[in-house]
Amino acid sequence: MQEANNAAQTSGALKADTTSQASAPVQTPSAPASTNDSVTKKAQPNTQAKLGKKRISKATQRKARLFRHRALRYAVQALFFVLAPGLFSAAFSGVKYIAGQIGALSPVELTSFVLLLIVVVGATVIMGRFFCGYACAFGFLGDLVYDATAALRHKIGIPDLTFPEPLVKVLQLLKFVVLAGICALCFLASYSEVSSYSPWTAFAGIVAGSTEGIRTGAFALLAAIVALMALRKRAFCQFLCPMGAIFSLLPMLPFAIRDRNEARCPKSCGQCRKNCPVDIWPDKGSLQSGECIACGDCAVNCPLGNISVLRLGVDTKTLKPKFQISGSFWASILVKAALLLIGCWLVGALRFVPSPQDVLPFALPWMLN
Amino acid sequence: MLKTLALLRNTFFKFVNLAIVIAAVTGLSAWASDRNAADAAVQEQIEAAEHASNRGPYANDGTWEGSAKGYGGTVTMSVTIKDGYIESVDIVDVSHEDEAWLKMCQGIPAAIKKAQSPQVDTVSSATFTSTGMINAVKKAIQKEEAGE
Repeated sequence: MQEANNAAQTSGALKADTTSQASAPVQTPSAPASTNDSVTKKAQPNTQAKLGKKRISKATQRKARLFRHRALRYAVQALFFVLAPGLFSAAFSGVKYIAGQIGALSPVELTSFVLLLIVVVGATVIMGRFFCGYACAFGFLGDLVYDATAALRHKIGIPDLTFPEPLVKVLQLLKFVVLAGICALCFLASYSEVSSYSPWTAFAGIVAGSTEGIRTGAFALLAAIVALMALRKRAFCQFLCPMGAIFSLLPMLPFAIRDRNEARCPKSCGQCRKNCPVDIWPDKGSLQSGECIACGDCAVNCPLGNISVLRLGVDTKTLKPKFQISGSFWASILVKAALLLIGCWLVGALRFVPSPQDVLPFALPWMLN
Repeated sequence: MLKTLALLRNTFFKFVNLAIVIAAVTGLSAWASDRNAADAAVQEQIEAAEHASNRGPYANDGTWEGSAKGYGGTVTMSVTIKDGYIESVDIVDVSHEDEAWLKMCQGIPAAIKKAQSPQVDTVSSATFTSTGMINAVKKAIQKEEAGE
Protein backbone atom coordinates (compact mmCIF):
# COMPACT_ATOMS: atom_id res chain seq x y z
CA MET A 1 0.00 0.00 0.00
CA GLN A 2 2.85 2.33 0.74
CA GLU A 3 4.47 1.67 -2.59
CA ALA A 4 1.29 2.76 -4.28
CA ASN A 5 1.12 5.96 -2.30
CA ASN A 6 4.74 6.73 -2.92
CA ALA A 7 4.23 6.29 -6.59
CA ALA A 8 0.97 8.12 -7.07
CA GLN A 9 1.71 11.70 -8.01
CA THR A 10 -0.58 14.41 -9.16
CA SER A 11 1.92 16.56 -11.00
CA GLY A 12 1.96 15.08 -14.43
CA ALA A 13 5.30 16.69 -15.28
CA LEU A 14 7.06 14.17 -13.12
CA LYS A 15 8.63 11.25 -14.85
CA ALA A 16 11.31 9.03 -13.44
CA ASP A 17 13.96 7.54 -15.60
CA THR A 18 14.94 4.58 -13.53
CA THR A 19 17.71 3.41 -15.78
CA SER A 20 19.85 6.53 -15.64
CA GLN A 21 19.08 7.53 -12.06
CA ALA A 22 19.30 4.22 -10.36
CA SER A 23 21.11 5.49 -7.31
CA ALA A 24 19.79 9.02 -7.00
CA PRO A 25 16.49 10.30 -5.68
CA VAL A 26 13.92 10.42 -8.38
CA GLN A 27 12.16 13.73 -8.26
CA THR A 28 13.44 17.02 -9.60
CA PRO A 29 13.39 19.89 -7.08
CA SER A 30 10.52 21.72 -8.71
CA ALA A 31 7.99 18.96 -8.26
CA PRO A 32 7.35 17.90 -4.69
CA ALA A 33 6.28 14.34 -4.16
CA SER A 34 4.65 12.74 -1.17
CA THR A 35 7.06 10.21 0.19
CA ASN A 36 6.10 10.59 3.79
CA ASP A 37 5.10 7.20 4.77
CA SER A 38 8.28 5.33 5.30
CA VAL A 39 11.85 4.93 4.32
CA THR A 40 12.53 6.61 0.98
CA LYS A 41 13.68 3.93 -1.36
CA LYS A 42 16.37 4.55 -3.91
CA ALA A 43 14.54 4.46 -7.22
CA GLN A 44 10.82 4.74 -7.63
CA PRO A 45 9.06 3.77 -10.82
CA ASN A 46 6.37 6.24 -11.74
CA THR A 47 3.45 3.86 -11.80
CA GLN A 48 -0.09 5.07 -11.60
CA ALA A 49 -1.93 4.56 -8.36
CA LYS A 50 -3.24 1.07 -8.22
CA LEU A 51 -6.90 2.05 -8.34
CA GLY A 52 -7.23 1.48 -12.02
CA LYS A 53 -6.62 4.55 -14.17
CA LYS A 54 -8.01 7.02 -11.62
CA ARG A 55 -5.37 9.17 -9.91
CA ILE A 56 -5.65 9.81 -6.21
CA SER A 57 -5.43 13.49 -5.40
CA LYS A 58 -2.76 14.73 -3.06
CA ALA A 59 -5.33 15.97 -0.60
CA THR A 60 -6.91 12.56 -0.39
CA GLN A 61 -3.53 10.90 0.01
CA ARG A 62 -2.69 13.31 2.78
CA LYS A 63 -5.97 12.66 4.60
CA ALA A 64 -5.41 8.93 4.30
CA ARG A 65 -1.89 9.29 5.68
CA LEU A 66 -3.08 11.42 8.58
CA PHE A 67 -5.87 8.99 9.37
CA ARG A 68 -3.56 5.97 9.33
CA HIS A 69 -1.00 7.66 11.52
CA ARG A 70 -3.59 8.82 14.01
CA ALA A 71 -5.21 5.39 14.06
CA LEU A 72 -1.87 3.75 14.79
CA ARG A 73 -1.14 6.26 17.52
CA TYR A 74 -4.54 5.81 19.16
CA ALA A 75 -4.12 2.03 18.97
CA VAL A 76 -0.77 2.19 20.78
CA GLN A 77 -2.14 4.68 23.32
CA ALA A 78 -5.13 2.42 23.98
CA LEU A 79 -2.83 -0.58 24.48
CA PHE A 80 -0.75 1.27 27.04
CA PHE A 81 -3.92 2.51 28.72
CA VAL A 82 -5.17 -1.02 29.20
CA LEU A 83 -1.85 -2.51 30.26
CA ALA A 84 -0.45 0.31 32.36
CA PRO A 85 -2.72 3.32 32.97
CA GLY A 86 -0.74 4.40 36.03
CA LEU A 87 2.71 4.56 34.40
CA PHE A 88 3.09 8.34 34.44
CA SER A 89 1.97 8.60 38.03
CA ALA A 90 4.13 5.72 39.25
CA ALA A 91 7.23 7.07 37.50
CA PHE A 92 6.69 10.50 39.05
CA SER A 93 6.14 8.88 42.43
CA GLY A 94 9.66 7.54 42.04
CA VAL A 95 10.82 11.14 41.64
CA LYS A 96 8.89 12.30 44.71
CA TYR A 97 10.25 9.38 46.74
CA ILE A 98 13.82 10.27 45.76
CA ALA A 99 13.28 13.92 46.69
CA GLY A 100 11.77 12.89 50.02
CA GLN A 101 14.56 10.48 50.88
CA ILE A 102 17.25 13.02 50.02
CA GLY A 103 15.51 15.57 52.19
CA ALA A 104 15.33 13.11 55.07
CA LEU A 105 18.97 12.08 54.51
CA SER A 106 17.69 8.54 54.03
CA PRO A 107 18.94 6.03 51.50
CA VAL A 108 17.19 5.84 48.14
CA GLU A 109 16.23 2.23 47.65
CA LEU A 110 15.46 0.63 44.30
CA THR A 111 11.73 0.48 44.92
CA SER A 112 9.56 -0.65 42.03
CA PHE A 113 8.61 2.97 41.31
CA VAL A 114 12.25 3.96 41.15
CA LEU A 115 12.91 1.04 38.80
CA LEU A 116 10.00 2.16 36.64
CA LEU A 117 11.39 5.70 36.63
CA ILE A 118 14.70 4.31 35.41
CA VAL A 119 12.92 2.37 32.63
CA VAL A 120 10.97 5.41 31.49
CA VAL A 121 13.96 7.76 31.68
CA GLY A 122 16.13 5.21 29.86
CA ALA A 123 13.49 4.82 27.16
CA THR A 124 13.38 8.60 26.73
CA VAL A 125 17.15 8.87 26.39
CA ILE A 126 17.03 6.20 23.69
CA MET A 127 13.92 7.15 21.77
CA GLY A 128 12.96 10.66 22.81
CA ARG A 129 9.64 11.42 24.51
CA PHE A 130 7.86 8.48 22.93
CA PHE A 131 6.37 7.90 26.37
CA CYS A 132 4.60 11.25 26.21
CA GLY A 133 3.24 10.81 22.73
CA TYR A 134 2.22 7.16 22.93
CA ALA A 135 2.25 5.65 26.42
CA CYS A 136 1.05 8.29 28.85
CA ALA A 137 -2.56 7.74 29.88
CA PHE A 138 -2.95 11.39 30.79
CA GLY A 139 -1.73 12.48 27.35
CA PHE A 140 -4.13 9.94 25.85
CA LEU A 141 -6.95 11.55 27.81
CA GLY A 142 -5.92 14.95 26.48
CA ASP A 143 -5.81 13.73 22.89
CA LEU A 144 -9.21 12.07 23.19
CA VAL A 145 -10.80 15.11 24.72
CA TYR A 146 -9.38 17.45 22.09
CA ASP A 147 -10.17 15.26 19.10
CA ALA A 148 -13.68 14.58 20.34
CA THR A 149 -14.59 18.22 20.82
CA ALA A 150 -12.43 20.29 18.44
CA ALA A 151 -14.42 19.80 15.24
CA LEU A 152 -17.72 20.57 16.90
CA ARG A 153 -16.26 23.48 18.78
CA HIS A 154 -14.81 25.02 15.62
CA LYS A 155 -18.18 24.66 13.92
CA ILE A 156 -19.91 26.66 16.61
CA GLY A 157 -17.20 29.27 16.39
CA ILE A 158 -15.06 28.67 19.47
CA PRO A 159 -11.45 28.65 18.30
CA ASP A 160 -8.54 26.90 19.97
CA LEU A 161 -6.87 28.66 22.83
CA THR A 162 -3.80 30.29 21.32
CA PHE A 163 -1.04 32.40 22.78
CA PRO A 164 1.54 34.59 21.06
CA GLU A 165 4.80 32.76 20.57
CA PRO A 166 6.88 34.62 23.20
CA LEU A 167 4.20 33.88 25.79
CA VAL A 168 4.20 30.22 24.79
CA LYS A 169 7.92 30.02 25.46
CA VAL A 170 7.41 31.47 28.94
CA LEU A 171 4.46 29.20 29.71
CA GLN A 172 6.53 26.18 28.73
CA LEU A 173 8.78 27.02 31.66
CA LEU A 174 5.86 26.76 34.10
CA LYS A 175 6.24 22.99 34.28
CA PHE A 176 9.70 23.43 35.74
CA VAL A 177 8.16 25.56 38.47
CA VAL A 178 5.61 22.80 39.15
CA LEU A 179 8.41 20.20 39.26
CA ALA A 180 10.61 22.30 41.54
CA GLY A 181 7.67 23.07 43.82
CA ILE A 182 6.60 19.46 44.26
CA CYS A 183 10.18 18.26 44.74
CA ALA A 184 10.83 20.98 47.30
CA LEU A 185 7.71 19.99 49.26
CA CYS A 186 8.75 16.34 49.19
CA PHE A 187 12.25 17.31 50.24
CA LEU A 188 10.81 19.14 53.23
CA ALA A 189 8.40 16.25 53.96
CA SER A 190 5.51 18.71 53.57
CA TYR A 191 3.91 17.24 50.49
CA SER A 192 1.03 15.20 51.88
CA GLU A 193 -1.42 18.11 52.23
CA VAL A 194 -0.84 19.36 48.70
CA SER A 195 -0.84 15.85 47.25
CA SER A 196 -4.46 15.30 48.24
CA TYR A 197 -5.35 17.91 45.61
CA SER A 198 -3.39 16.21 42.85
CA PRO A 199 -5.44 15.86 39.65
CA TRP A 200 -3.50 12.66 38.94
CA THR A 201 -4.92 11.13 42.10
CA ALA A 202 -8.42 12.02 40.92
CA PHE A 203 -7.69 10.54 37.49
CA ALA A 204 -6.33 7.34 39.05
CA GLY A 205 -9.44 7.08 41.17
CA ILE A 206 -11.72 7.36 38.16
CA VAL A 207 -9.73 4.76 36.24
CA ALA A 208 -9.78 2.43 39.25
CA GLY A 209 -13.49 2.96 39.70
CA SER A 210 -12.97 3.95 43.31
CA THR A 211 -13.24 7.62 44.13
CA GLU A 212 -13.95 7.58 47.84
CA GLY A 213 -11.52 9.48 49.99
CA ILE A 214 -10.37 11.70 47.12
CA ARG A 215 -10.93 15.38 47.66
CA THR A 216 -13.43 17.29 45.53
CA GLY A 217 -10.66 19.85 44.94
CA ALA A 218 -8.64 17.21 43.11
CA PHE A 219 -11.59 16.48 40.80
CA ALA A 220 -12.12 20.19 40.23
CA LEU A 221 -8.48 20.58 39.25
CA LEU A 222 -8.74 17.55 36.96
CA ALA A 223 -11.85 19.02 35.31
CA ALA A 224 -10.07 22.34 34.75
CA ILE A 225 -7.11 20.58 33.14
CA VAL A 226 -9.37 18.47 30.93
CA ALA A 227 -11.19 21.62 29.82
CA LEU A 228 -7.86 23.25 29.05
CA MET A 229 -6.80 20.27 26.95
CA ALA A 230 -10.10 20.38 25.08
CA LEU A 231 -9.31 23.94 24.06
CA ARG A 232 -5.66 23.42 23.23
CA LYS A 233 -3.85 20.26 22.27
CA ARG A 234 -1.78 18.74 25.05
CA ALA A 235 -1.84 21.96 27.08
CA PHE A 236 -1.10 20.11 30.32
CA CYS A 237 1.87 18.33 28.81
CA GLN A 238 3.31 21.49 27.37
CA PHE A 239 2.78 23.85 30.32
CA LEU A 240 2.23 21.89 33.53
CA CYS A 241 3.51 18.32 33.52
CA PRO A 242 6.33 17.84 36.02
CA MET A 243 7.32 14.51 34.46
CA GLY A 244 7.49 16.26 31.08
CA ALA A 245 9.78 18.84 32.65
CA ILE A 246 12.18 16.08 33.64
CA PHE A 247 11.98 14.47 30.20
CA SER A 248 12.74 17.73 28.43
CA LEU A 249 16.03 18.00 30.32
CA LEU A 250 17.24 14.54 29.34
CA PRO A 251 19.95 13.95 26.75
CA MET A 252 18.50 12.09 23.78
CA LEU A 253 20.27 9.95 21.21
CA PRO A 254 20.64 11.81 17.91
CA PHE A 255 18.29 9.63 15.90
CA ALA A 256 15.53 10.14 18.43
CA ILE A 257 15.07 13.78 17.44
CA ARG A 258 12.94 14.94 14.57
CA ASP A 259 14.59 17.40 12.24
CA ARG A 260 13.50 19.08 9.03
CA ASN A 261 15.60 19.33 5.96
CA GLU A 262 15.34 23.11 6.06
CA ALA A 263 17.00 23.70 2.72
CA ARG A 264 14.07 21.96 1.03
CA CYS A 265 11.32 23.75 2.91
CA PRO A 266 9.16 26.10 0.83
CA LYS A 267 9.25 29.58 2.34
CA SER A 268 5.78 30.05 3.73
CA CYS A 269 4.81 26.49 4.57
CA GLY A 270 5.14 25.93 8.31
CA GLN A 271 2.76 22.97 8.28
CA CYS A 272 4.95 21.14 10.76
CA ARG A 273 4.88 23.98 13.25
CA LYS A 274 1.16 24.61 12.75
CA ASN A 275 0.31 21.00 13.52
CA CYS A 276 2.72 20.58 16.41
CA PRO A 277 0.85 20.15 19.72
CA VAL A 278 3.74 21.71 21.61
CA ASP A 279 4.48 24.57 19.22
CA ILE A 280 7.99 23.82 18.10
CA TRP A 281 9.80 23.54 14.81
CA PRO A 282 11.38 20.12 14.22
CA ASP A 283 14.95 21.26 14.75
CA LYS A 284 17.55 18.97 16.24
CA GLY A 285 19.92 21.81 17.03
CA SER A 286 17.45 23.69 19.20
CA LEU A 287 17.03 23.30 22.94
CA GLN A 288 13.29 23.36 22.24
CA SER A 289 13.58 19.85 20.85
CA GLY A 290 13.25 18.78 24.48
CA GLU A 291 9.59 19.87 24.24
CA CYS A 292 8.87 17.38 21.43
CA ILE A 293 6.44 14.66 22.52
CA ALA A 294 7.36 12.46 19.52
CA CYS A 295 3.80 12.29 18.21
CA GLY A 296 4.97 12.45 14.58
CA ASP A 297 2.26 14.90 13.51
CA CYS A 298 4.89 17.17 11.94
CA ALA A 299 6.21 14.43 9.69
CA VAL A 300 2.75 13.22 8.68
CA ASN A 301 1.61 16.71 7.73
CA CYS A 302 4.74 17.72 5.85
CA PRO A 303 3.85 17.98 2.15
CA LEU A 304 7.42 17.14 1.15
CA GLY A 305 8.18 14.28 3.49
CA ASN A 306 10.90 16.51 4.75
CA ILE A 307 10.97 15.56 8.40
CA SER A 308 13.07 12.67 9.56
CA VAL A 309 14.94 11.28 12.52
CA LEU A 310 17.77 10.08 10.36
CA ARG A 311 18.90 11.49 7.04
CA LEU A 312 21.87 10.31 4.99
CA GLY A 313 23.50 11.23 1.74
CA VAL A 314 21.80 14.53 1.01
CA ASP A 315 22.31 15.33 -2.66
CA THR A 316 23.62 18.87 -3.01
CA LYS A 317 21.55 19.61 -6.10
CA THR A 318 18.20 18.03 -5.44
CA LEU A 319 18.58 18.40 -1.65
CA LYS A 320 16.96 15.04 -1.21
CA PRO A 321 18.56 12.40 0.98
CA LYS A 322 19.58 9.00 -0.32
CA PHE A 323 18.15 7.42 2.77
CA GLN A 324 15.94 8.71 5.52
CA ILE A 325 13.75 7.39 8.26
CA SER A 326 10.63 9.53 8.42
CA GLY A 327 9.56 11.15 11.67
CA SER A 328 6.35 9.14 11.56
CA PHE A 329 7.58 5.76 10.28
CA TRP A 330 5.02 3.22 11.47
CA ALA A 331 7.52 0.40 12.01
CA SER A 332 9.69 2.51 14.28
CA ILE A 333 6.58 3.35 16.32
CA LEU A 334 5.83 -0.34 16.83
CA VAL A 335 9.42 -1.15 17.73
CA LYS A 336 9.55 1.66 20.29
CA ALA A 337 6.23 0.58 21.78
CA ALA A 338 7.50 -2.98 22.09
CA LEU A 339 10.73 -1.89 23.78
CA LEU A 340 8.92 0.29 26.28
CA LEU A 341 6.38 -2.43 27.02
CA ILE A 342 9.14 -4.97 27.63
CA GLY A 343 10.93 -2.55 29.97
CA CYS A 344 7.74 -1.92 31.94
CA TRP A 345 6.97 -5.62 32.04
CA LEU A 346 10.39 -6.46 33.47
CA VAL A 347 9.78 -4.18 36.45
CA GLY A 348 6.30 -5.57 37.06
CA ALA A 349 4.34 -2.56 35.87
CA LEU A 350 2.00 -4.23 33.36
CA ARG A 351 -1.45 -5.50 34.24
CA PHE A 352 -3.13 -8.59 32.81
CA VAL A 353 0.08 -10.23 31.65
CA PRO A 354 1.98 -12.97 33.50
CA SER A 355 4.72 -11.53 35.69
CA PRO A 356 8.35 -11.97 34.59
CA GLN A 357 9.06 -14.33 37.49
CA ASP A 358 6.46 -16.75 36.16
CA VAL A 359 7.76 -16.61 32.62
CA LEU A 360 11.52 -16.22 32.73
CA PRO A 361 13.73 -19.19 33.61
CA PHE A 362 16.11 -16.91 35.51
CA ALA A 363 15.52 -14.48 38.36
CA LEU A 364 15.75 -10.76 37.79
CA PRO A 365 17.97 -9.16 40.44
CA TRP A 366 15.41 -6.54 41.44
CA MET A 367 12.68 -9.11 41.86
CA LEU A 368 14.59 -11.13 44.41
CA ASN A 369 13.10 -9.70 47.61
CA MET B 1 26.48 21.13 10.07
CA LEU B 2 25.68 23.96 12.45
CA LYS B 3 22.63 22.09 13.62
CA THR B 4 24.63 18.98 14.33
CA LEU B 5 27.16 20.95 16.33
CA ALA B 6 24.39 22.61 18.32
CA LEU B 7 22.81 19.22 18.89
CA LEU B 8 26.07 17.72 20.11
CA ARG B 9 26.70 20.64 22.45
CA ASN B 10 23.17 20.51 23.90
CA THR B 11 23.29 16.74 24.29
CA PHE B 12 26.64 16.99 26.06
CA PHE B 13 25.36 19.48 28.61
CA LYS B 14 22.18 17.51 29.23
CA PHE B 15 24.26 14.39 29.70
CA VAL B 16 26.55 16.09 32.20
CA ASN B 17 23.49 17.42 34.04
CA LEU B 18 21.96 13.94 34.28
CA ALA B 19 25.29 12.42 35.39
CA ILE B 20 25.63 14.98 38.18
CA VAL B 21 22.10 14.31 39.45
CA ILE B 22 22.61 10.55 39.43
CA ALA B 23 26.01 10.82 41.15
CA ALA B 24 24.63 13.10 43.85
CA VAL B 25 21.62 10.89 44.59
CA THR B 26 23.67 7.70 44.65
CA GLY B 27 26.39 9.19 46.83
CA LEU B 28 24.00 10.64 49.38
CA SER B 29 22.04 7.41 49.43
CA ALA B 30 25.10 5.30 50.16
CA TRP B 31 26.13 7.58 53.02
CA ALA B 32 22.62 7.59 54.48
CA SER B 33 22.40 3.83 54.21
CA ASP B 34 25.49 3.29 56.34
CA ARG B 35 24.27 5.74 58.94
CA ASN B 36 20.87 4.03 59.12
CA ALA B 37 22.28 0.54 59.62
CA ALA B 38 24.03 1.63 62.81
CA ASP B 39 20.91 3.33 64.19
CA ALA B 40 18.67 0.35 63.48
CA ALA B 41 20.80 -2.07 65.44
CA VAL B 42 20.63 0.09 68.55
CA GLN B 43 16.85 0.53 68.23
CA GLU B 44 16.26 -3.19 68.08
CA GLN B 45 18.11 -3.80 71.31
CA ILE B 46 16.09 -1.16 73.16
CA GLU B 47 12.80 -2.64 71.92
CA ALA B 48 13.71 -6.18 72.83
CA ALA B 49 14.54 -5.12 76.38
CA GLU B 50 11.23 -3.30 76.79
CA HIS B 51 9.10 -6.13 75.44
CA ALA B 52 10.79 -8.60 77.78
CA SER B 53 9.70 -6.71 80.89
CA ASN B 54 6.18 -5.33 80.17
CA ARG B 55 3.01 -6.80 78.64
CA GLY B 56 1.88 -4.94 75.52
CA PRO B 57 -1.35 -2.99 74.83
CA TYR B 58 -3.27 -5.79 73.08
CA ALA B 59 -5.49 -7.85 75.37
CA ASN B 60 -5.57 -11.19 73.57
CA ASP B 61 -2.73 -13.28 72.21
CA GLY B 62 -3.18 -15.30 69.02
CA THR B 63 -3.50 -14.91 65.24
CA TRP B 64 -6.36 -13.17 63.44
CA GLU B 65 -7.15 -12.54 59.78
CA GLY B 66 -8.91 -9.57 58.25
CA SER B 67 -9.95 -8.58 54.70
CA ALA B 68 -10.52 -5.27 52.96
CA LYS B 69 -10.85 -3.83 49.46
CA GLY B 70 -7.58 -3.25 47.62
CA TYR B 71 -7.12 -2.05 44.04
CA GLY B 72 -8.01 -5.12 41.99
CA GLY B 73 -9.98 -7.06 44.59
CA THR B 74 -9.91 -8.19 48.21
CA VAL B 75 -6.74 -8.12 50.28
CA THR B 76 -6.38 -10.47 53.26
CA MET B 77 -3.79 -9.97 56.00
CA SER B 78 -3.11 -11.70 59.29
CA VAL B 79 -1.69 -10.33 62.53
CA THR B 80 -0.11 -12.32 65.34
CA ILE B 81 -0.16 -10.96 68.88
CA LYS B 82 2.25 -12.29 71.51
CA ASP B 83 2.63 -10.99 75.05
CA GLY B 84 0.29 -8.17 74.04
CA TYR B 85 2.63 -6.92 71.30
CA ILE B 86 2.24 -7.27 67.52
CA GLU B 87 4.68 -10.10 66.83
CA SER B 88 4.17 -10.26 63.09
CA VAL B 89 1.95 -9.04 60.27
CA ASP B 90 1.62 -11.38 57.31
CA ILE B 91 0.15 -11.26 53.86
CA VAL B 92 -2.43 -13.96 53.29
CA ASP B 93 -3.87 -13.01 49.91
CA VAL B 94 -2.98 -10.07 47.66
CA SER B 95 -3.40 -11.89 44.38
CA HIS B 96 -5.60 -9.19 42.86
CA GLU B 97 -3.02 -6.44 43.26
CA ASP B 98 -0.63 -5.38 40.50
CA GLU B 99 2.95 -6.44 41.00
CA ALA B 100 4.81 -3.13 40.90
CA TRP B 101 2.31 -1.46 43.21
CA LEU B 102 2.36 -4.42 45.60
CA LYS B 103 6.12 -4.24 45.82
CA MET B 104 5.84 -0.61 46.84
CA CYS B 105 3.75 -1.77 49.82
CA GLN B 106 6.01 -4.53 51.02
CA GLY B 107 7.24 -2.34 53.86
CA ILE B 108 3.78 -2.03 55.37
CA PRO B 109 3.83 -5.20 57.53
CA ALA B 110 7.16 -4.13 59.03
CA ALA B 111 5.93 -0.57 59.50
CA ILE B 112 2.85 -1.80 61.36
CA LYS B 113 5.00 -3.98 63.59
CA LYS B 114 7.37 -1.10 64.26
CA ALA B 115 4.52 1.27 65.10
CA GLN B 116 2.76 -1.51 67.03
CA SER B 117 -0.41 -0.24 65.37
CA PRO B 118 -2.06 -0.32 61.93
CA GLN B 119 -2.16 3.51 61.99
CA VAL B 120 0.65 3.85 59.47
CA ASP B 121 0.93 6.08 56.38
CA THR B 122 -0.37 4.81 53.08
CA VAL B 123 2.04 4.61 50.18
CA SER B 124 1.49 7.50 47.81
CA SER B 125 0.57 6.33 44.31
CA ALA B 126 -0.10 2.85 45.66
CA THR B 127 -2.92 4.28 47.71
CA PHE B 128 -5.51 1.61 47.03
CA THR B 129 -3.24 -1.36 47.63
CA SER B 130 -1.68 0.09 50.77
CA THR B 131 -5.06 1.21 52.16
CA GLY B 132 -6.38 -2.29 51.52
CA MET B 133 -3.54 -3.88 53.44
CA ILE B 134 -3.84 -1.43 56.33
CA ASN B 135 -7.62 -1.82 56.57
CA ALA B 136 -7.29 -5.59 56.43
CA VAL B 137 -4.96 -5.46 59.44
CA LYS B 138 -7.39 -3.09 61.21
CA LYS B 139 -10.19 -5.62 60.67
CA ALA B 140 -7.97 -8.35 62.08
CA ILE B 141 -7.22 -6.25 65.18
CA GLN B 142 -10.96 -5.61 65.63
CA LYS B 143 -11.46 -9.35 65.76
CA GLU B 144 -8.68 -9.60 68.32
CA GLU B 145 -10.33 -6.94 70.49
CA ALA B 146 -13.63 -8.78 70.28
CA GLY B 147 -11.77 -11.90 71.35
CA GLU B 148 -13.14 -13.94 68.43
